[in-house]
Amino acid sequence: MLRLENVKKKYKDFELDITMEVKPGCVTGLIGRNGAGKTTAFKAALGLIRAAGGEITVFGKPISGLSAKDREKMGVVLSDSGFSGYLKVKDLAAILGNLYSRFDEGYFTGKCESFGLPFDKRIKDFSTGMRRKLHVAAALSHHAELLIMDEPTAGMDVIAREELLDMIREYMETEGRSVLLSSHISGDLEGLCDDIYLIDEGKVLLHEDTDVLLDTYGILKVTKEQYEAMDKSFLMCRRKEEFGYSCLTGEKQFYAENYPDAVIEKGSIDGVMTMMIRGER
Amino acid sequence: MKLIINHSSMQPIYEQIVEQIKGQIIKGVLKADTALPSVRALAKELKVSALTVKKAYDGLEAEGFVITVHGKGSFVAFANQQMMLEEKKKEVESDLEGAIRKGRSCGMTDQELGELFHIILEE
Amino acid sequence: MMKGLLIKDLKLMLTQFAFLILLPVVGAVFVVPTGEMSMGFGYITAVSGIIGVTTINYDSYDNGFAYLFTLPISRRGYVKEKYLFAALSSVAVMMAIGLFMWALMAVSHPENAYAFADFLGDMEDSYSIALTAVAFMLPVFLKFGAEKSRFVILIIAGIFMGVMIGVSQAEVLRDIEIGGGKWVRVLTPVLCLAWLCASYLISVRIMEKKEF
Repeated sequence: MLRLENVKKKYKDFELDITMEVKPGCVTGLIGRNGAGKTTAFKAALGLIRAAGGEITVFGKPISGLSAKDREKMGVVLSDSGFSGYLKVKDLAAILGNLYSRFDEGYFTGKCESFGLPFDKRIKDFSTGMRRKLHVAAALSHHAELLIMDEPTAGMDVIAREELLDMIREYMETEGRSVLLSSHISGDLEGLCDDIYLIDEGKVLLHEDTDVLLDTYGILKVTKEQYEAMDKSFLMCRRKEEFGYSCLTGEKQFYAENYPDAVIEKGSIDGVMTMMIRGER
Repeated sequence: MKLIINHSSMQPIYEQIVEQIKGQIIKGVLKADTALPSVRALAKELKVSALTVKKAYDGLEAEGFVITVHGKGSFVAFANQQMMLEEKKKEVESDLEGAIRKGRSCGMTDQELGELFHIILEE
Repeated sequence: MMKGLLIKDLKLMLTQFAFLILLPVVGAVFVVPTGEMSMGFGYITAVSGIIGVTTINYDSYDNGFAYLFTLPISRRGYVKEKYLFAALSSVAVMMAIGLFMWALMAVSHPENAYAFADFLGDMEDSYSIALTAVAFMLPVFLKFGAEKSRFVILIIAGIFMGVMIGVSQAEVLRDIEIGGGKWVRVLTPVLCLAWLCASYLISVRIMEKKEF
């Protein structure tokens, strides 16, 4: 569906160099710190910025060959940009209906209502959360095949976040669709994404299937002595701690079986991310 | 299908799904030829990734508990007594392995372990 | 695509409803006390030129461009629509205000009666000039963004208005018309069109290169 290969982009502070892919029928997640390059990757994938190197393919076509009709198959939510603030929700229905041939007005207005969005207020008077919900509703209302969402849950409370994630799950129930989304909140990604890319300083640090990450990755917490005595072949990185070391492994089972005394924590996206970014190999 | 997943458990989610479905099949709660929910529907219900559910279904199929028909979905295969027995034996074996591991880690010799085993058998 | 964008810009323009109502009122101020349309033309020209271009302001508000270009529109299509909207809104505003002012004048100063045919002819000139101004402003707005351009635009608008007033006062246009005959009538719109096309191509190039 979407493929970035060796995509490079240079900015003052950092350089982006990533290879990633969203396969058909998959929900792919992107996680990383602020300024890690998530939004840059998104913008490159959307053709908003031009990559200095590498290839970007969307729906099998190179991004330069993407037509307006192709873009009808995409639903987008950006973190820092949206509809002109001077418009109202009721204006949007007419506009979107004329931009997208498969726009479902009933679905759009229905979702706006259930989100409690006022139809007569200007968008610039909305709260961040409300604006987010509006754009998600718009992105989901035209039978897109690919959803690209940059921090869609930002600014939302727990209930709204769950609603949004459920909307994405519902969206995926139709075959042939894919989603690329980024989030700060790893819990969102854990319960939804099929695979996850961890980005830091413009590079992909890790790419793994979510269930593998949750099931076979683990964080060992051991004393210095335990650490010295251990077989380190399956350790990916380690961090010095008060008590000794914490270590990331991709083979939790191995350590659970051979070192039953060692404290092992279940793998989590946050845990893995912290270890990969802060740890030493 | 009523599955309960513990997200904070050390047991992999994939395993939890496989075990619970297997259990229901063996107990007869899920009868032969029953259609399992679609991968995505179950993923939505359990709030896990669709890939996890797919792997679970694949795992169940590899063990013969489930048959997947392309385009139609997954169905409970005919569960027979033999299979149930196999499952139970596997569980016993795994429990024994666990006990032995524990014993060894606290210093018991194999002989002590064997003796303990026989004592308990006779109780 | 085009229709969707046009609707958007129309709705955005209508948010300025209060301002729009004011326009004919101000126009009346030009006409009623003086009893002639000359200053009025300068006013109409300047106003209708600017109206069409202000929608770019709305687009760039709050970094809106980034999202805009993820929608099913092409860079070229966006530029096309801007020119189209400017052309359409200019003529609409111009005719509305112009007619209002003309009618007002006919009622308040019947002695300066101004034939409708002449009125239309002058409107046509005004329109050409307004579009020429638009053709200047659009590429500037697109390249430098609404914020920076505003000051430049104000100056250009002021110059145009001044020129219009000066020219119509001096009746230079009428003289050119009488002197050049039909050719001037034909040439002005043609030149204007040519300039518009050049401006359009420049704008397309600007937008295609832009990153968000």
